[in-house]
Amino acid sequence: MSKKTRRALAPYLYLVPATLIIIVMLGFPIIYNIGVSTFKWTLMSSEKVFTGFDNYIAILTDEKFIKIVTTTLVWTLLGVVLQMLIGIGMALFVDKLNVGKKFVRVSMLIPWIIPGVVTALMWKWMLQADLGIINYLLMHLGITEKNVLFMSDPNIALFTLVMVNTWKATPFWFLMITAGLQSKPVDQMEAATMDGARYHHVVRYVILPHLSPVIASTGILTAIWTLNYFDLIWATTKGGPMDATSTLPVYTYRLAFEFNDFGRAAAMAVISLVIISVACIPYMKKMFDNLKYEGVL
Amino acid sequence: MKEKWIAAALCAVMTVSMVAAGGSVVKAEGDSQVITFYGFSDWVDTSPFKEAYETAKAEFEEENPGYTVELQSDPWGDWEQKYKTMFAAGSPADVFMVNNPDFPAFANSGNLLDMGEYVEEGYFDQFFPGVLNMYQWNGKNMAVPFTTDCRILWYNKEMFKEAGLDPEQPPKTWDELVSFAKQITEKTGKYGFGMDMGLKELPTASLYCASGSQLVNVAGDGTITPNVDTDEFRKYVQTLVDMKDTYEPDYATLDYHDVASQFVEGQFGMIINNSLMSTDIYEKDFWGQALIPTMTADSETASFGGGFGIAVNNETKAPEAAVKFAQKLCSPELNAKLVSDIPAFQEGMDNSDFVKNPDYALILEQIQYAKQSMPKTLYYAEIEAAAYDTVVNIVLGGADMDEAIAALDEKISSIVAG
Repeated sequence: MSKKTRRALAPYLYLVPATLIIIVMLGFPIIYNIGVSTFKWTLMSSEKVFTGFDNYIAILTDEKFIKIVTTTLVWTLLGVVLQMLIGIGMALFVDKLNVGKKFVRVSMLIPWIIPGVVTALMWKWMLQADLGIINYLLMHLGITEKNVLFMSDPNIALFTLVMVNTWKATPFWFLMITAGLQSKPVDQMEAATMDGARYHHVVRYVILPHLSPVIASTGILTAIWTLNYFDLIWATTKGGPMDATSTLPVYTYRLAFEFNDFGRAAAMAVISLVIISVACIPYMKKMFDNLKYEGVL
Repeated sequence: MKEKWIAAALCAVMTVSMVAAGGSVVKAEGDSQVITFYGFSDWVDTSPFKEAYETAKAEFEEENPGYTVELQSDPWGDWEQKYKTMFAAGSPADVFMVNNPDFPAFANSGNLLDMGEYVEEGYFDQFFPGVLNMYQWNGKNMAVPFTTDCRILWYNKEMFKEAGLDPEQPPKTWDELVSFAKQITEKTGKYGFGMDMGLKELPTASLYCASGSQLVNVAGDGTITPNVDTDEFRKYVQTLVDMKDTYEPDYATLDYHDVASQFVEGQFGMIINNSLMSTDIYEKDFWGQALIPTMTADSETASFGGGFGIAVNNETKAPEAAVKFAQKLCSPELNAKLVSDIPAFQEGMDNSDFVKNPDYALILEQIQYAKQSMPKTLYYAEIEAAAYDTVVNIVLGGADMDEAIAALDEKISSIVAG
């Protein structure tokens, strides 16, 4: 092998270990899962019969499917938008602080580092209808006249969980945006200010465009995490009441471990993968555009 | 060049160490065969039960030289998920606890060893027939009954007095239950009945069992037909609807643990629950116990009966030893010390607190009427989940009962059609 060929091959050889890890850790489980989804694979029978797309058809024609997908989309989109707005707002606010900035930054991260199940149980008790402190405060302050059924009213439960998840996940947005703000274009901000721009104009036309790659990548990550988030829902409502909080991961879990149907659970997981991939396309496009613009790609 | 030699030497040392370590493991396995046992840590790894599992392991290893028992466990929620995953992935434990609703699926799939071939004749005769039947499949004994359980009615005597009810006369029928619950709520301002709809199981299944009916019928040829468009199922659901105003507002998210702990704290007038052995109820002085109220005055009481079996994986390399360990866990001397449930045979029960302590007398009476809300079928979980959805839709969602029951009937038919 000539020296020139070796030199040309070298970058690809460096990629081999990482590629192998991705194939083994990511590629194989996905392909295996797709394989399982084409079989009637339950704990009730030792026979695993190839059924093609039957599991997919069964899921897509299940009366609950549309409701579960809708719930999942509301849970994910509303959750990510709230996390983003509050996270960006908090980061900009703390960035302007002159005193106690470090303390506030550290304090803001506490909800994020609390384990999911602990968060779930803590909020479950605080939001309890008649003994929870939230209802006590709401009634004591005259905001509500009777106890609000945060977790057990089918019309409210999903939004309650979105709020709890927002409380937990916002610090990640805060952290990422704060990191992005460390390299904010100060000269451009000063120039805009000297030209008469108000602070919200500076944010809108200078800071946010600067942060857009961070917002795009954080958006992808939090969308994936929120869609797949299981602990909070399972530990508080188990997908109830009346399936009001049943998202794709919750229903996938029930298919596998309650109904012992691994084939349908695998099909549901593949459907989830497709949905999340489609949902992430705009974010991914934005991220790649930014990387191209910056000359990384 | 020097660095290369150092790196090569380090690689050689690592390789030798790994081979040596691997060799020692193989040697240990070669000396004694390992029997793995998998259960939930609430018993296997929690005092005072943990010590009894260690005793079982030590005694077994002494009686069966050449075998070592490895006790494995996870908390309840993880355990239920993991033992199914172990089978799906083809790497199950040799001996394991099996939850009775899951038993048909495991047995039908050929995952369980026919234990009858490995035990002395008549071994299974000692177990209570109803419980033994839960672990038989196609006439074969596929698990040793490990524990059984039932529900009873618990009531708060102080609250009964406050509501003007006789604390020595608990409700005997569903109508009385509704009337008493309403009276307690009205007179005391507290919750008359502790409902738990947080688990996806038939709510207060014991009440439905006490109707004498069952969710499905299984014909002699194995055909399963829905049996929910009945007076019994309607009255059961109507009873839950009629009591709705007496429930704690968050009843849709409470499970039986929540309800038990709130009863112990004096929040509920009545609940249907198990022995409450894991709570400190027996230190209180307000509690009363009663048999599960029946649908009508002349019908027989009944209660939901659960429990666990000890099964052996059909692929185990040491079936005889594995069965012996299963028998060890179900031995009269040890069984009661390993569990907080009720032993599934008389000798085990004689060694348990359930017999020694008069507080448990009523539980022993109720256990004789323990059964399940439907016969043992492969579709138990799916049918129960469908029934749960229907009951919740009616009680919580206010769905029309006729339409909801008709839809349930149809749903069960489609489930059993596969």
